[in-house]
Amino acid sequence: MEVIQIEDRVQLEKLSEPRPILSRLVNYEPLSNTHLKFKPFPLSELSTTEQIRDQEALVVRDLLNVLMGLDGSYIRYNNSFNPISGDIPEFRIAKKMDSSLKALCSRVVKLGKQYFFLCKCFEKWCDLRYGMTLQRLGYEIRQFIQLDYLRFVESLERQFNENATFSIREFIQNIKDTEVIKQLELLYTICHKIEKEMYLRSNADLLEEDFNNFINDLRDELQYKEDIMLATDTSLLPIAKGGIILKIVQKSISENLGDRSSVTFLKSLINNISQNYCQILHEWLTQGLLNDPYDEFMICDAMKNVDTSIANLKFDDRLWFTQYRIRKDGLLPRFESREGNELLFKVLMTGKLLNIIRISYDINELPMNVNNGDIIPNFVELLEGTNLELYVNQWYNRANELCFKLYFDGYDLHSFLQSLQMQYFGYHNGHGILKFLQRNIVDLARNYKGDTTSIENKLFQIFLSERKNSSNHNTSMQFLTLGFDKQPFNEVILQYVQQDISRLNGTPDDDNSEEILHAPNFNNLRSILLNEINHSPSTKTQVKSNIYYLQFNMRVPYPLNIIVNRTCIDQFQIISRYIYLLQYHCKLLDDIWFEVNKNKLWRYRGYSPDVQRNVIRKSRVLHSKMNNFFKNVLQYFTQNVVEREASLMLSLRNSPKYINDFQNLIQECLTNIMTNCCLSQLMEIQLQMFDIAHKFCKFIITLRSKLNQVDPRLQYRSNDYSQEESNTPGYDEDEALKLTSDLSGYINVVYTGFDQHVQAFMEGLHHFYDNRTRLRIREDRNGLGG
Amino acid sequence: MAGEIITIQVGQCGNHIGKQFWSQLAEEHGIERSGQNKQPDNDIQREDFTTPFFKQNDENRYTPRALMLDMEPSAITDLQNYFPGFFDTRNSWIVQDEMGAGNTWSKGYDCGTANEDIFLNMIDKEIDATENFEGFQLLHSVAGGTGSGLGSSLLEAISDRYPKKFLSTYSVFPGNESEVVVQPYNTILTLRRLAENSDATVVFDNNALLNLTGKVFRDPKTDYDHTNQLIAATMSSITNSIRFPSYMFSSIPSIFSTLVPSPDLHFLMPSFTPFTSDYVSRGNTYKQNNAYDVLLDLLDSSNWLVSTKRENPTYFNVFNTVIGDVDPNDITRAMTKIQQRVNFAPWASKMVHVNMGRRSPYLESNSTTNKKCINGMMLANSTSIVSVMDRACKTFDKIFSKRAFLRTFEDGNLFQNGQEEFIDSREVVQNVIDDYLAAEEDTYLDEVLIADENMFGEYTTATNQVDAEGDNNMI
Repeated sequence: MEVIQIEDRVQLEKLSEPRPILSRLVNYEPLSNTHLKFKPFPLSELSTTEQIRDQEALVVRDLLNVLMGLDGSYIRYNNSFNPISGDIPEFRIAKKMDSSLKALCSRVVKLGKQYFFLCKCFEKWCDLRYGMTLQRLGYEIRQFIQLDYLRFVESLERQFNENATFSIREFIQNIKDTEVIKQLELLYTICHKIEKEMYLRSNADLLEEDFNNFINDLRDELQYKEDIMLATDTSLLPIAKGGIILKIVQKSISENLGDRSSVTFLKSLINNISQNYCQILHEWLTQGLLNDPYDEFMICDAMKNVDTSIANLKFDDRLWFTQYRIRKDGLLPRFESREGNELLFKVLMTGKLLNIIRISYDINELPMNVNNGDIIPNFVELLEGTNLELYVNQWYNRANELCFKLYFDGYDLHSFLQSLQMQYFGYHNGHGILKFLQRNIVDLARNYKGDTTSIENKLFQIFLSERKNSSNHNTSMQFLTLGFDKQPFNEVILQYVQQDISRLNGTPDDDNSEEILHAPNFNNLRSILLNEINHSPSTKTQVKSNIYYLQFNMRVPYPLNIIVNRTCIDQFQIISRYIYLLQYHCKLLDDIWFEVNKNKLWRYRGYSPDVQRNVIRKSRVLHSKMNNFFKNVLQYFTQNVVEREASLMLSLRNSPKYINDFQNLIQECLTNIMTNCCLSQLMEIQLQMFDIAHKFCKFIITLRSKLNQVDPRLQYRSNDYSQEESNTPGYDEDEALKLTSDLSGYINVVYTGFDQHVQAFMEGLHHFYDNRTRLRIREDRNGLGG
Repeated sequence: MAGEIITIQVGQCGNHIGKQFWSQLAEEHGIERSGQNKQPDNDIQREDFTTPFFKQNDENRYTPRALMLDMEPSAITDLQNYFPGFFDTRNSWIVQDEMGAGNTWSKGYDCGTANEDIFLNMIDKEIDATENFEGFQLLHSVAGGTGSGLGSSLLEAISDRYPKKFLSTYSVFPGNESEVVVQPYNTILTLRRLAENSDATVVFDNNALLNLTGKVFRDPKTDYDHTNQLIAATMSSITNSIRFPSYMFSSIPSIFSTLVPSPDLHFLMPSFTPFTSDYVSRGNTYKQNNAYDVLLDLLDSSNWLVSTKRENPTYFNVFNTVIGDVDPNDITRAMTKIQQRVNFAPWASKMVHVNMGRRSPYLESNSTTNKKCINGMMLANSTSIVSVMDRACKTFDKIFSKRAFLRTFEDGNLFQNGQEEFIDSREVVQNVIDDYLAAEEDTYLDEVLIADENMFGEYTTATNQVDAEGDNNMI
């Protein structure tokens, strides 16, 4: 065969030619809808009975075009259709077509439109911003169209071309019979819903929606008082993707229940498109990885775009709460119910826990048990029966086990908690506190002045040297620092107490929760909250001793700060400040004991009976009363309140199985201590009593010089000692009598004042104690009844 | 570290008590009789706190902060043989040229004053080895010669030299059957020093001790070794919160300042129950009990280590220690009950202190009953102590009215000017008795408060009216 030379050239595209902005990568299907309008053979001339068969053939040919989204001779796009615009065309059927044909056509035309729509969709969804799920859906549609739909159309065409008896009835019958068309319709409905969702989203005010969701969440929480607090992200995605798509497909499955073939088709579809979603879920549950570049998963990472290596951000305990959140938008329906919430919580928790482990061990991949590690379940199976619960629980349990091992074996959380208890509450550390107070009592008794750095440093130095001596076992000691708070204890605690009281009374008069719920937007909400901060009780200008300001700070290292977080430490601090205050007053009174019992002036037996009884004896008795009272309060508070809760916290026997329960347990114990009447309702009266005791101690110290003046012999002797001061007055009986009555008067006032306070305190204690036991009895009964 | 305490053992009785006391402490802290740590593993963090009573020479050796003084060598030699190498040899002192005080107070006292510098020197050396010295505890008997006489001179010397340090004594008073004729003299003379120079005196008396010994031990033949175990048990419990620190009561003053409202009222009555094998060897076994029962049992005079004839004494202050696995609820219940049952002085704060002590982890734990057994100790400041003083005074008056047996005292330096010292001492003791009795009265302070107290009392009884089902009665 001779080879013929032919010219075969490719002409390069001229770049200078302007291209339309919406230029596409694929050819337009119809090249034009307006220009190339050829005139078809008029149908009116084919309307006779003999010619109807021709007309039918022409129509079927057109229908074949329509099935592929093209316009034909008698079925055309609507005039306004512009292929560049991306609209979906309407097919218009020639008016003069035989009416029976027309009726049949209108059914098929619908399919053409659907086909066209689907093609548009998968073209569009190729874009990265639509995420993996939609892309996969696009791929599935394309596959469907190429492998099923177009083949079907081709088979029709072949019949049309080859089968002489092929009629429009067979054509329609074929369409009716085949599953393909049904599937096309299903896909169309799904895509249509997706597009509708997209449209809604593109037109909604996302910020407002976000805010409304946020407020609704708040309301729900207030209303149901749910046990589980979920960190949620209420914002709406501008594009429907990920979970939203799955939700739509899932919904259409349930709409088609009963139609077995459709359900099978849809199930395999959802299995395919959810592959990525399941993969993310699996990685999240097994490794704690969140490999979700397109924000499709139900969990979002707030720190995704932040470099966490800066400033050791990833070790901050606040991140624990805020980093990973539930994306409310696009949650699968299974997670929306009440039980689902619990499940959702487990999902969230599992990954978070695994992240702790990965960060703590500094590894990227957790070793997996080969038997079950690699099976990524498919979506449909997962949602059947209790499979999802089982699946989530399995990994949740594993994560918890690993974490417990990490915390209790690795970090010895138990002894850490114990040492916290030791440092903050004085558990087995009474001598430590005593020593600290003994060494620093002078500094601690001084009035607080704004600038305290020097005293702070001094105390801290002593504290540091102490720390060096303490054994290595005492882990928490190494992280402890000493400092002065800006606010004295009384102000800090009274803020808490007032909050409690208003909550207990159930009259949220200054509680602006209502106002918050009615806030129109985020900005307004923020300003309301800021207002609340500024509204905090005005600072009283009462000068307090340094002890009121003393507090121990601790920066709990990662990952212990996940369990013992800021809130816990804050509570530890407040409780500890109270205990230190009690200890301080006990110590002060113990020191005064030496004065009133051992000082020679006090032991002198020569005073007049009046002085002996009304000054000496009464002071001693009053001192003993104060001493007894504060020691008893300290004893009650440490042994009955702190010790009880702490032993709950530390008991290994009843230790919960889940990290979250453990966190809650610690929180609960601390809150129980905090809400004990000693630290809440009876706080104010105790603060007053501290004041009384403090003033009384000061008075006792100054009494020494006065005692000299009330007795002639002592006066004489003291004058002897200070002979150089010649102007010291001699003993004056009137003066002495006046002084005695002044002193005994003052002591009397303090005595009765303190007694009344003790009584009020006891009454309060009885009241709260009785209430509590009554409540407990009732609870017990209810428990028995149930 | 906080609060070292120096123990001074004087005389035969003092040193015998010391023997039991240190053996009890050594056991509780896991220390062998030689001073060696039983568990030399340094990695284990000690849960106890040995500093107040022991010097730690190196990692594994402990030496008691104790001074042993006597006028005859037997007791101290016995002690040193029993604890080979445990005590610091520099800290024992036996008078050279005399053999015993012959049960005469004046001999002991004169010996004490003569050697005062030596003693104070010994104490100073011991204080040098402390960081934050807190106080003394003196172990002695008031009846013999050395414990009472030498003890008395020491009390004076110490309170003069260290006026800011706490000085407590554990003083054993004679029983009814006096073995020594001059015992009443010794007692009264010593009581004066106790009243004037000690800050807190824990009183034991031989009547109660012998009585209890008979009940506690299975062995019918008992001697002072047995009796002293009871004293050691009490001392160990009092200091439990110091040696096994809890939240509070971690120093001697913090314990005794709750008990002693005024220097006139500083004689304390101890009570202890049950004496389990944690504290005594070969004692009877006890049933398992709870803190509620123990705390109430302690109020029963059969458990007191002081015998008293006073029915329903008036209490000023009460301090309890319960040791073992205690439920705080039991304590709360017991406290309410005690407050109702005990007759408090009108001016007292009517509060009962209960320290939840810790059982030493070193004590044998093979017998499970012991672990569950709760031991309780009560120190009470009450008028029941008056009975002991009354008895001392009566026996004193009986022989002093006849000026009997005074010859042995005539050599004493204090008695060169006649019998004034006896009369003064008797008066001081009488004052103590009077002070105790006065404190019982409503008029101790004045009448203003009484109405309030009654009101308060009514309130508590009203709230405690609870029917069988636990509901409060509505009246």
